[in-house]
Amino acid sequence: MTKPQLSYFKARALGQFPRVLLSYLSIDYDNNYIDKIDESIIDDLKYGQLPLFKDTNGFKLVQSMAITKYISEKYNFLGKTPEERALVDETISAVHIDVFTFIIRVFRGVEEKEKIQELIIPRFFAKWNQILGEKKYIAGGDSYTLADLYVYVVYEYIGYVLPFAGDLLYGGKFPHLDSLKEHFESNKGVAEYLKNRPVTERKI
Amino acid sequence: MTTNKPSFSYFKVLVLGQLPRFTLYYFGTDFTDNYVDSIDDEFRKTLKFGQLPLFVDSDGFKITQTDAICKYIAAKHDFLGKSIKERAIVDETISAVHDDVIIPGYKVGKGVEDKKVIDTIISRHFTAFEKELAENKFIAGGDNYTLADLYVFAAYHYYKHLGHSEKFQNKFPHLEALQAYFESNKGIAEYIKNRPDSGKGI
Repeated sequence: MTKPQLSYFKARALGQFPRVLLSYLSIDYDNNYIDKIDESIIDDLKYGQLPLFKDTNGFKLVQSMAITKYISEKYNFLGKTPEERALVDETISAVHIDVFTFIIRVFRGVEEKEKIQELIIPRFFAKWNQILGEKKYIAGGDSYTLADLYVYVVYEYIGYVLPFAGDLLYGGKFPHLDSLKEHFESNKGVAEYLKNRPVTERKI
Repeated sequence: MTTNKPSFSYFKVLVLGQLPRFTLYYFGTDFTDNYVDSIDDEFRKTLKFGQLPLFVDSDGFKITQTDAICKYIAAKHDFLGKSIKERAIVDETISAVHDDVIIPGYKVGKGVEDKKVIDTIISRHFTAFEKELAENKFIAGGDNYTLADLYVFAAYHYYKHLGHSEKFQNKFPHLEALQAYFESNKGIAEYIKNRPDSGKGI
């Protein structure tokens, strides 16, 4: 194959992290939208799940965080020192495991929506806003890393899935997060991705 | 100038804290293992996202989030793989183990998840791990153990702790061998022997 390929459903969910990353880095890739996992793809899926990334050399990788880390390593998007790299890992873990998962649980009604205001916003979004105000980049280095991208994606995503959360977050209350969003959305690749991604009924 | 010993803080339950603890003990790290009963307001203010686990290195560098802590420690010991592909499979494995094996196992143990998910995880994830070990001696496909092997061991060990030993029967000889390898490590053996029991089974 001449282009790397990313396979995932039409939903944003976890697939959006590698999709936004690939777009941001202007990597020419096959954005393979999957309706459902069937025999044509199941054998490629190590744990029976999407997303799946296939590199041009045939290397196959699953787990969205592994995919984004792998791509980022190739493009020096992971930080320059062990401490910076550790903070990148810390951030993407917090975004994926603590915030993203919580958003889905509130959406599905298995978690109280009040916790968004009580816990998720003060512990995570306010914290990231503070860090960005102090250090310019989430991982404390001298340029953007995957950590900044993950925070941007989940900041935009929470308002999409849970409009009440958007009301609590957006409109200048967290100016550094707004600037972060502005940075990523003014990127040509990301702007095009946002313009062209399919609207889904699933709302996640 | 003296530097402090690194310290690790987490509750008594195994669930997430066991992963950095296994990693630290595996390497014979001299550190303070701080078992926390509950997070009070003062302590919570010092935690980046208000949560445990927390690792503080000897130079004062603080890191939270289980997998980030394990990777930070593993990086110091060349325990993350030698090539970009190997490193990718390490990330792939630790993500799958944490999100899709340890957390659901914990939730079933707590009674907030349907226990039929255990059978799915055994037939999907543990079977995949067994197959990888049968094909390559090491989970990440390199020539030595990595954090991926330790995570898979920890998951297997944890599921037995949660009471699912019978479901494994004799079907996972390579996972058994992996468990034997890690449990024969002096640091891990001592940790398992001496760790406090939370009394909660998780």
